[in-house]
Amino acid sequence: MSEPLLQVRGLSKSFEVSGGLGRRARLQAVAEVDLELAAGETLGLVGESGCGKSTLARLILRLIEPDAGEIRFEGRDVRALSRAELRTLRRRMQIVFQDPFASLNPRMTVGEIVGEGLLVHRLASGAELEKRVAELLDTVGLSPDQAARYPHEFSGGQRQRIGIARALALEPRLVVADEPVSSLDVSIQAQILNLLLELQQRFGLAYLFISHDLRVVRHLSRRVAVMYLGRVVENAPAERLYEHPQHPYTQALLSAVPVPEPGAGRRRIVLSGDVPSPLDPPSGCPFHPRCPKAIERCSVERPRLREVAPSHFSACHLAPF
Amino acid sequence: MSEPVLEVRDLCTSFTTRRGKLTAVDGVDLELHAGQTLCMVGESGCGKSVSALSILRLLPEPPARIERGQVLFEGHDLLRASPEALRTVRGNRIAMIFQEPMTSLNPVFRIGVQIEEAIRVHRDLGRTERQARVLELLELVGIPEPRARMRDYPHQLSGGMRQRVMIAMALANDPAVLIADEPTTALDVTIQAQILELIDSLKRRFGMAVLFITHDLGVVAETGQRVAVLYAGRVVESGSVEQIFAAPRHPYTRGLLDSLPSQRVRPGQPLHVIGGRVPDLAPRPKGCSFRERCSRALERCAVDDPVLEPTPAGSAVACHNPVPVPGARQ
Repeated sequence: MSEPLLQVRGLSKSFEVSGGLGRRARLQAVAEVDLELAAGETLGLVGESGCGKSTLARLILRLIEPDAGEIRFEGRDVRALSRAELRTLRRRMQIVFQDPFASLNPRMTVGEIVGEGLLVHRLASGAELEKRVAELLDTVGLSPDQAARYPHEFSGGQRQRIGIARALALEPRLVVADEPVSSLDVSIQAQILNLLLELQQRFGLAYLFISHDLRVVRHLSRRVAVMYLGRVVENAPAERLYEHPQHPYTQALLSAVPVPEPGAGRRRIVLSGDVPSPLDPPSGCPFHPRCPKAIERCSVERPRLREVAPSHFSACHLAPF
Repeated sequence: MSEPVLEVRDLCTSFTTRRGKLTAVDGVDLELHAGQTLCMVGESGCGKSVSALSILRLLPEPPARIERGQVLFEGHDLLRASPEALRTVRGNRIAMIFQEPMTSLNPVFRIGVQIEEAIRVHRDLGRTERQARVLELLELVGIPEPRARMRDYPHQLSGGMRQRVMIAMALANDPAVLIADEPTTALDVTIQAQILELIDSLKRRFGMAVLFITHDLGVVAETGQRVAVLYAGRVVESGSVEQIFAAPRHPYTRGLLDSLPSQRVRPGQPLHVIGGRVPDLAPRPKGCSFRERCSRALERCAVDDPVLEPTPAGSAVACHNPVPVPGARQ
């Protein structure tokens, strides 16, 4: 296999937070994450709130500086780049955010928003810029004559299209999509998912697709990584992960997703308790206090991510199941 | 079927907006039965929350206005009840839980005090009896170490635990009806599974009638016995959960089900899309409000407003050209 477009090794980040009453505490948001993503493919990243998936995305783009680890993009060490080099690189890696209301500047016209990157990077100006913006709007299914309008004049789905047009402007190879359809209604969600698939085919984009919706991730992703308390606990080809999950957390997560088929007659694994605080993560396996399968070893020794089936990685002492 | 516990007839709620009168709920009929969950499903702006809030008269009037209709509950029409009569029903015989428990709880009072307040308002109990009841309720909704948690403030609890507190508060006076407005939407799936299970077990244990509002068809399939699909302020289809999922008759219901990524669509293949968007309701367009997005629309749909009519299978659909039942001869 050729070199992956994106390669992440041992990526970690902790934040200092107030622990209350003047105490300081360290929150390990992302711990020792390894990931790979090939050009033109989609890696899905799933997990519940606070599992570190959005932080991981921002670390990869160096929107947040990692504490440790390596990020290689197109073979280059992203962390070693100078500011100027990083800026050039950012043309090749773009992000689409969840909230189409908060991520578009309300004082800029749609044309200005979509064209801003082109201007900043001095790739187009004047009539050429206008033409390019019109093309981009057309690409994402908006009418080019809407360029003079402001974001508030658009619906949620249309705003997400604007966000996607902005990301596409610099012809990236990687688009990080952080919950891009989570705030949209199902009928609009389907439109945006179809658009993302179509753009991937057309431009050979690679997606790092972050979502808490396992159904949506399955639909888009070739591989899926599951995060729990800052760590990747399972990483496998999508079909394998959904059909034969090899981590009790993934198994519980999949069983908890409501299926739109009445009387599907599945057995739901209802986990007891809440996700533990990342300020005070459990010893051993981070999942062991909620794990229905935990054994004594799990509370002492943290399982490493290991290959339990071809190309299928799980961080569970008991895998394969 | 048994007599409904609560019946909504021809409910119509409008809002005064800058662009004129907007009819958010336009002739909604619903029936709630003891021990059953009716799911009200639809996309943003379809009128599902406004319907629920209208039942308890919780909308600020103005700008809201209940134009017509009846909400029949225990022999009274709540839409014509006095403010005093309404107060004895709210949080007592009919309780409600909301999507965001953090904004529904008062941040400066301990949760025990807030639950106790819900009891005090409606019942003549002494302090020790009330506190015993609070403890009982917290245990009932599965909050660990209830005696210690009683003294917590809302911010000290997780989202799932806060929703449990809200449910405890709702159950405080043994309601006949529980209205749940997207109670799990802000929660993670594993926590959502816990809360759905909890609501279901409480419903069975106390024989409550539940009106469950959601946009998630997966949640409908798992928690509901009956469904009402709302579009642009109207019920466009209603029936048993099995009927609606197996043989949806309204093109909108069909479209919603098809637009979900599911086992039926291969990964990476385009999803079914309902083209266009929800029409502007101020003013409501003539004819069927779904017709411009509908692939089955007839000429008649532009002029003649379809009304909810019973189907041979026992469900009801508001459509001039409904989706044929699979396997049936046309």
